[in-house]
Amino acid sequence: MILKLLDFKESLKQLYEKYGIYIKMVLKFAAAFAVFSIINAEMGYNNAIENVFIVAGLSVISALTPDAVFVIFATVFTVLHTYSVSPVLACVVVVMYLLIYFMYIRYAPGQVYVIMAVPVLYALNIPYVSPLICGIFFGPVSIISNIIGIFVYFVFSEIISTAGVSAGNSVSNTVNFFNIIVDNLKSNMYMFVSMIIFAAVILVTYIIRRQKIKHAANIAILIASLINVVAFLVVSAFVENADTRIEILTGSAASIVIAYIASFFRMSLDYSGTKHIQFEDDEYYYYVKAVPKLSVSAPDKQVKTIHAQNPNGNTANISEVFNVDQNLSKKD
Amino acid sequence: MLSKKKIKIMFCMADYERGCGRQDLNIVKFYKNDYVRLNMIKSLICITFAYILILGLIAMYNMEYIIGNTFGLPYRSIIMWAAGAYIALLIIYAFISLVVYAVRYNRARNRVRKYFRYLQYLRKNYQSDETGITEG
Repeated sequence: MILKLLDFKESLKQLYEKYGIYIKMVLKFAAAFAVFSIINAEMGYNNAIENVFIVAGLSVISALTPDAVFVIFATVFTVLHTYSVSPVLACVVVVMYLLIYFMYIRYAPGQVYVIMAVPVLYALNIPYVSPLICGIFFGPVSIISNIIGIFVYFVFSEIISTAGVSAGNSVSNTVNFFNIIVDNLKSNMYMFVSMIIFAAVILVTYIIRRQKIKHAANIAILIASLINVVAFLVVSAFVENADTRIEILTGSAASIVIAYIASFFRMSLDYSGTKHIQFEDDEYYYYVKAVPKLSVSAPDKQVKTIHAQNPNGNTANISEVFNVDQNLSKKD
Repeated sequence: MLSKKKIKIMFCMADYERGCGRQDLNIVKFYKNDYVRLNMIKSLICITFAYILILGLIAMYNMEYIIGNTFGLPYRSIIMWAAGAYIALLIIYAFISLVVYAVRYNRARNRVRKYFRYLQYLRKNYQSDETGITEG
């Protein structure tokens, strides 16, 4: 099984090396299309940008332009949907994005994708994959990104759930609408508890992965997932608006599988070939542990069909050419 | 003559130039202190904008109370509180900027040093090739 997976990994690697540019474009297109469609499906207040051709067109533009364009399109989508609910609230959303940029993204530009991914993963009911993968790949810096992502998700879920309250577009109504959302967020215990659990899961994953033990990444995913499941199950019993137990269990199971696959494709190591080397210079002794990467060369199968060419230009059967008995080449 | 090592180095250099090399070279144009100070100033300007936006949101949230008690508000304590929070935010972000941009500069400098070492190696290699040809 592992050999087959490694073989598959090598094949993917070779394919990526060969057609990297096109694969990246296709993946970016797929990601953009999925994100825009999810935003439309979850919010769906602005009919103009729900058109599939607009979504596809913007996805194509996102695929062909730098990554920042994709992020800008996604934020514009959410702002336009919110604008359809309440223009003042759309301004508040813009202010929220500006605050995130000024206070965090300027220092860690790469983390914008984590912030964007968390609400999308919530919409897909697999939010628990985010702290696992962040713990494995990024480390403690992504705790802030996850917390911001959770906050953004709950802001939009509050906007969606209280959208019906907005009776008109007068300033007093929209200000009240804003107050309702802020009050709901302040009293939303589940949001704060989710932030704490996500932060703990990221820390546990990161700490265990950094340990000098065999299969550290796999053990980290397993233990962190267990902590995550137990914590959310306990929370679901005491906190209002929490996910149901089935949602937690199915989401966690899917998250573990995704985290394992991501971890496998990132790094698979051959612990049987581990070498411990010691050497020294004038100042230090060095104790080095070298673990070789596990890789299997993908079989390069090439099927050649040999056709002999008759003088008149027609192709002949191989058995005819080599004067082999016709019956031998046929199956019984 | 083709040299495997030379090709590898040139590949690494080209890859670096295409990736973060351009940004790194822009960073190391400055002295470390200048770079960190410049970015600290930029950060503090951004934080000032962010703080104004936060104050706006807080004012919007308490709009009804503010309109209802315009003349009875304790302006002195509000201003003191706002100024204190602003100064605290500036100090925190000045420290964060100092650390982040100093680390960023050090990393860029290390990468550029390696790049220049490669460049020097290549120059020496080409010079020795040229002298070999002229002598030959």
